[in-house]
Amino acid sequence: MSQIAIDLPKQFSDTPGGRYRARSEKSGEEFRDDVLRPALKKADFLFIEMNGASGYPHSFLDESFGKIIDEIGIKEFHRRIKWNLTDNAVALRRLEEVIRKHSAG
Amino acid sequence: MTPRRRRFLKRQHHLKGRASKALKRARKCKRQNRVGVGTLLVPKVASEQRVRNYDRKRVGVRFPSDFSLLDHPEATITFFRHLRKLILEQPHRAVAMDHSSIANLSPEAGLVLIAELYRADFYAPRCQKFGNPASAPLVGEIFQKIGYWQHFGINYNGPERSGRQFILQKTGRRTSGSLVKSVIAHLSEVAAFSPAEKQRLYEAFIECMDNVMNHAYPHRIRTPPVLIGQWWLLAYRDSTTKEVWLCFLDQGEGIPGTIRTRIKDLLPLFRPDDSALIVKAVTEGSFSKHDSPTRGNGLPTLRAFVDEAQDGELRIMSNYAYCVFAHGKKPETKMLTQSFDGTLVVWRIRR
Repeated sequence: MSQIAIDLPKQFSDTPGGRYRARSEKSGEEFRDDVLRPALKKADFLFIEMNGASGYPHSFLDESFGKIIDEIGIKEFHRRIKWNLTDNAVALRRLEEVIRKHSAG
Repeated sequence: MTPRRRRFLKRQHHLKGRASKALKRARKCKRQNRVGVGTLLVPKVASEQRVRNYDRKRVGVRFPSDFSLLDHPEATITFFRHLRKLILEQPHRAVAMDHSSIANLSPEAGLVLIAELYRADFYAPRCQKFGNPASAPLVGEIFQKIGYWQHFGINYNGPERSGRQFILQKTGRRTSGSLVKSVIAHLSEVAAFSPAEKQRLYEAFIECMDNVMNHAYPHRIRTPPVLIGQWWLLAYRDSTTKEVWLCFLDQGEGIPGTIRTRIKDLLPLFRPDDSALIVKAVTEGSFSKHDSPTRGNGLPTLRAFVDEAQDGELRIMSNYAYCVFAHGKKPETKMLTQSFDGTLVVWRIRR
């Protein structure tokens, strides 16, 4: 069982942007397509360190994590992806809301 | 037609089509031995010099004395519409902008003026713009600090009269997290935001910017000609008054127009006016069909900062609405007689 650790602020950006690649720097779409999807293909488990970023806008979380949930399903998402976000309580609530919304279908 | 007259008409390049018709008519008259028929198609001109300078005549533009969108919105919007019409409808003419008439200037008016120059440069690149220095030193200083004088090659070297430290106006066509981070860092030197507050502000600014990217410029916008996807940002901190100020502008459809487009089937039969939609967007946040407590939090977060600070206000001007959300007060709304094409958000707090 292989595992990959991703430090989002250091490996992707400490200033996550908006939703779409064409309209935003360091967008959720870019993170999903260039980081999350390749990592899920390579490894069984992902651990994403999210502390240290300037913030996580809703559109970023929705386009990255939300669309991944739509692709692999909520059970696979919970089984294969873990994250650590302790320095931004609002963003953590926002991420949980995104997961809830996409798990409802 | 005399030979001299015929030569004169040939030299007028812009009247070539008409001159050709007049010449053809004259040749026809000569062939038929007639003196001349009808009226000339070319306009009567006193001299060749006057005709040569016709296209290059400068049009003077005089600014209002109180050049402020927030304090004098009607007069200032009238000025911007007049300026835009002058430049876009007659793009071959030069415009002379008389800055000496400005007695008071507010920074957001300067930002909108810069945006109009961007629009003019794009849609009327042949329109030359000239400007003189401002008479009021504070006006000249503000124009210098926001980067306006660069468009005219003017350099203001006067003494600093205000404690405001501006960032130069920024513009772009993509949401930029690095820019937002640098703006917050600039403001934090006076406002001393905590790490959690910086994160909230960052997310709110990114949401506002991304909303412009994704919703403000639907493909059907045609008039007035706009710079699709473009936004402008200006911010200052004032170490004397301990206040921070940020202004964000776009030339899009406007918040009320965007809301009506997105959720037209959810709106009640009695359609709310522009100001009611803005008040709802700021106080309640999301207008999404998939209503979520964490969505649409950009403007409500900015308003929350106003309420938490010692003093401050959030002002939004969009389409026909002008709304003010001041610290400790109920929202004030005003309907404008002329539409502000786009959205202007001005946020100020003092901690």
